[in-house]
Amino acid sequence: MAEQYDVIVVGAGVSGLTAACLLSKQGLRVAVTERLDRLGGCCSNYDVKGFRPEVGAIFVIGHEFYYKLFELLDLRLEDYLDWKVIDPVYYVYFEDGSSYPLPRDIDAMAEVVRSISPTDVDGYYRYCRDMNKLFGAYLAFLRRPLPALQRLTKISNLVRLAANRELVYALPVNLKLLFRNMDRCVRGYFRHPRIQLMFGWENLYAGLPAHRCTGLFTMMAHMGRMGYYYPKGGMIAIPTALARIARGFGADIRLGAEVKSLILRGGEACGVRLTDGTVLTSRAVISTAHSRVTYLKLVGEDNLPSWAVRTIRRQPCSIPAPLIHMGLSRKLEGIRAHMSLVANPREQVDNIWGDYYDRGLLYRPADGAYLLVSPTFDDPDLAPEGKDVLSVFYIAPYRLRYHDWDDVAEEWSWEVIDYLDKRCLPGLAGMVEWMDPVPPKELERRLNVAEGAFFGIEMSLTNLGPFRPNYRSRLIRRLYQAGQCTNPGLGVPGAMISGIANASLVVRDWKALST
Amino acid sequence: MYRGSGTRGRAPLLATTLAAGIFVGFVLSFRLDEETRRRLRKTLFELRELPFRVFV
Ligand SMILES: Cc1cc2nc3c(=O)[nH]c(=O)nc-3n(C[C@H](O)[C@H](O)[C@H](O)COP(=O)(O)OP(=O)(O)OC[C@H]3O[C@@H](n4cnc5c(N)ncnc54)[C@H](O)[C@@H]3O)c2cc1C
Repeated sequence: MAEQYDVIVVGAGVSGLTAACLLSKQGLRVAVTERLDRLGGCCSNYDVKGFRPEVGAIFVIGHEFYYKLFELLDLRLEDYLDWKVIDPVYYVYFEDGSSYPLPRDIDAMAEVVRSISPTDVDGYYRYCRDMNKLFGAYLAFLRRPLPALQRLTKISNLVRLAANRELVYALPVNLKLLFRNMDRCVRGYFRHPRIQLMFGWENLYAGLPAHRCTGLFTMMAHMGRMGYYYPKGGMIAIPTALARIARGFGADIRLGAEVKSLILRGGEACGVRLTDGTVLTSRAVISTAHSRVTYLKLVGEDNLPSWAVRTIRRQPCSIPAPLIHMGLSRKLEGIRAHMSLVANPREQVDNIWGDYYDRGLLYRPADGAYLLVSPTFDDPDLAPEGKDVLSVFYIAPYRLRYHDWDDVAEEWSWEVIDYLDKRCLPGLAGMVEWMDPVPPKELERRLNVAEGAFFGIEMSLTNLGPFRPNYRSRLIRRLYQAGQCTNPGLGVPGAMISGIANASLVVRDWKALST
Repeated sequence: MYRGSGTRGRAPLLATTLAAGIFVGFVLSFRLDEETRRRLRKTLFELRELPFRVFV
């Protein structure tokens, strides 16, 4: 006998749980089915012998959006999440052995700039002024009260919400950044190559060299100054809080419950079939899985027109985020921040794309760029007493031209560890008690994210806005889509926004869905 | 005899210009470096896919 719900949400990641919280608060009967035994999808921690590294997301960016979600839920964020600001924002290790903290305080950062290149201090303050204008518009937008859930996705309401004086004030800076590449923007503010690197490496997140990346990414270096946060208990604290809220409103959250297929009747989604044979029926289904999974596996190619199958299969994924996780037998003395960048001169970092990435090659460890993440820096409880956790992000393609990831990941990871040991973390290799290499292929297997992609679908102009999968599916009625493959993409706040938009649409459509 | 005016009359000229443009583009594409050629291919691919993406 099928169990009946109003709405079924596929996936207990941030987007799915956000939608579940809001819909169950509206009094709808909601079931969330998650294939893993753990909440959070890409925003989670796993546990091996007491070491609890992050699965994907490593820090809270855009914390104001989290407050907005709690505002919609009529709850206080502080009652559910205990987080602290990340300071220094980063630590940078240069190729000559020198290293610098990038503090959060604007004037303290100016002193770091001064110690490297006094002539760049003016440029730095000009950069801060420009970025403050941009963030002024963003904060003015976030300060406005949100319309009720039913009216949230109406274009006229969105326009009214976004229109503010600060936006007009920030327009020239916005246009300047939008129509210049990041390389040009950074050079416009800074002259010294090291300062340029400090303020111009975040194009790595976009998966593009700086000369091909939009100048808007220049603002990311300032976002850390506005505040990156880290929750106590690791990033999994965020989905855990959302699940607690959703359950409080009556939602049914099932872990270890993989959806095998959607149940379609007359071209409409009316439930899901789990791999163990359980059938759940509903009036609407929200899928937060990657669009390739949602359509090609759960809906099934046979139920889609051939042009749609082709389009979905061909839509490019964002770059993958390969990782190496380590459990260390002792505290790592060399680590001085939650996140550290190990980089070579800027041109060399940019050459990674042309010389290696685009050709499907792995670089020699010394040619690479690495982001080291030490969650225990801000929460020592994420490792057994006296021990440490370290994760290393690097850049590498999903498909290797000459190798299979399964054959080379382990050996390559040890090479990277040896390199980091020699370059900036002496003693690291000897301290590794446990190591887990997670190349893109493995991330795909673990998270069901096509190509192990960082942000689902590529974050480019031709894959944003109307060109990203729609919230309300145009192919299958009663199917809604949330998550990183939909708009706006880009991280946990993006996933939250898509969850809010989905809940809003379902509530608006509810009359039609009930018939 | 009726001679077409406007666009119709100019059709052969337009067609010849277009064909010449394609030919010149084709020849020039051999002189592009690998990176530019890859970007060009990607742009053409994206343009072709755009209309379909709207309906997913
Ligand atoms: C390595 C990495 C680092 C990142 N770093 C950051 C960061 O520092 N800050 C930030 O804000 N963002 C970061 N992001 C992005 C952020 O983690 C994601 O955008 C966000 O967590 C996506 O949430 P989601 O709900 O859209 O998708 P997901 O988290 O992928 O959730 C989808 C869920 O659906 C489940 N699922 C899939 N198929 C099925 C099925 N058939 N049946 C049942 N369940 C299914 C999956 O198991 C998963 O739990 C990072 C991402 C990665 C991969």
